Amino acid sequence: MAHKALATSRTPALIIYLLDVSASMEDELNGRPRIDIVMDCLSAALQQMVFRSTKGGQVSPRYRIAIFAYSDDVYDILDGVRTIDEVASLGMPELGTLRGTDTAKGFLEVEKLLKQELPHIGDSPAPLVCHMTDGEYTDDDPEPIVRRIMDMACADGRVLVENIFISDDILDEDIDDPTEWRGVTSGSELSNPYAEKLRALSSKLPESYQTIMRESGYSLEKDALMLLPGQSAELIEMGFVMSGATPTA
Amino acid sequence: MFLGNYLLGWLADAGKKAATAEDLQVYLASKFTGVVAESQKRVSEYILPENLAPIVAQVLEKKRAMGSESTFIGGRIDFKEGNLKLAWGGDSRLRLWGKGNEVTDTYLPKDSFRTMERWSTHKGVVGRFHTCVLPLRVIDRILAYSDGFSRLDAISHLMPQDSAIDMLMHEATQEPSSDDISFMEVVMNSVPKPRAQRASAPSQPLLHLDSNEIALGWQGVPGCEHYEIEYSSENGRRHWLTKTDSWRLPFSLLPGLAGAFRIRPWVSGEPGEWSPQLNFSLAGQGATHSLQASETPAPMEQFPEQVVSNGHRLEARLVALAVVLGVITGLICSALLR
Repeated sequence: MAHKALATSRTPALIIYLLDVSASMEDELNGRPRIDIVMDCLSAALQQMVFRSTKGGQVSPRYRIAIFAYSDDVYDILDGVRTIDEVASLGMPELGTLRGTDTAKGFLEVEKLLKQELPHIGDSPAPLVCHMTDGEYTDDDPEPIVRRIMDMACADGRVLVENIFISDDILDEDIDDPTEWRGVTSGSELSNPYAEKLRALSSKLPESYQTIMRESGYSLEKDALMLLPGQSAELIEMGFVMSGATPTA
Repeated sequence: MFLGNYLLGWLADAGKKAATAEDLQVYLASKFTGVVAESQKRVSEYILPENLAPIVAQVLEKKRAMGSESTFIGGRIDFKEGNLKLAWGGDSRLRLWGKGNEVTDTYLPKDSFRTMERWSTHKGVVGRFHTCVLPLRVIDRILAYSDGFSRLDAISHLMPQDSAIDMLMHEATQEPSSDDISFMEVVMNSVPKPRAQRASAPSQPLLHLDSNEIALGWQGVPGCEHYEIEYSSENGRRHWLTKTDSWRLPFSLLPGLAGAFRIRPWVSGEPGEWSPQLNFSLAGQGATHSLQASETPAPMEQFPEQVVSNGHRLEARLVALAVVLGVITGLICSALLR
């Protein structure tokens, strides 16, 4: 139960993206619509997975990907779980924004998918759910569902939940250089009540992920949680890099 | 391929002139440095296939900018001069046997097979490479293989027979983390004949679940050098070795909650028959254990026929590059890493 299983073509890592596409995602961050930044970062994360899966010109199916977008409803962007080589062939999806933020409905779809997938996970790495949002839910509280998801487990450990929260009032401190930032811990001062809630719904960063993040140039500390304050495009990118930091063979 | 061809040229030229490990170092270092411009040019001129998905093309362009890297092992066996010259860089395995015993640690520095050391098309030698010159009379077998065949590492202090190597290679391809395998074997004296009959399976295998560990026991097999224990489940296999006729593993180290164990002896460097499978499952906390031995023995695994001849033998399995020039034999094992 140590999150040490390697992502290989025989034991691929399952990564589920849950993306908030509510109207506020059209708001600008660093002069660009948030949704555009998120899609660029997701593209970079998928490219990193392709990089880790490529030998010669062949892409091995070391990762399996699902992408859900949610607003008032939930949309299965890839029409189920796709291997990274399939995602590479399909190309990046295009997402537009809608209206509300029914986060609970989004996590319900994730839970449903995990219930289908977990019996067949075997010796693969524990699945990771990467949730990106820019604001509080407008419908039911998602916490009970996220807690059920965090209690799900396979041989490699519990399902990991990562939250990327796009907001400029999460931390008191400014993060000038994300590569030097030590991460959010249980003791970090947070200035936003929803960030507090998301912290409680974020998994502890496994040591194996911390190692990969360090290899990618980041300095997250041992007790860091999988909560990324999306105060800049660089931090959002860091969050998506984290989502693909499963160790590979 | 570029590095392989280059090393073959070195084998036919410099390998003959250099008399000591230091000479080899100096000569090879100058050649390695001089070849970088050409290798960089080759990489930059390589045309990617047109039908690649855009994201794959972007990744390959990134990799092109980083250059291509490879571990390598190159060697020259000169029967006329009676010596063996070797050069290597990276963590591909190079193992030597003499008079039936493994002598790798005697002649090759243990810390000289480093993952971070390699040859790069853009940087030349990364870290350093290593050389040695040995009298041929002390060596009668050489194994060179890439890390994809690390399954063979555990078979130590034995001279694994053909059947063992084929069997382990077959098993390695079944592992979840299976990777490319490059393998080459050179045997310079008489080839040990395989045993007429495989050693029989350990009898009376038993599996017992304690409060926090799993224990296996069996009747010993005469002449057994060590026992191999295999765990298998629908998700793959794991292997361990022990020299005793019992073995234990804490539940916390058990890869999975249900599966099967079996045991086989190794006698004279050859694997014997597998024992019947011992199935188990751990259900829930506090463990409601169910335990049973299968009633039918595990089937014999089938492997390709071996070709064995008397006298000098050069044999290569799977991907290996070899050149035989009269009494000169070179071996190269090169694996493209990135």
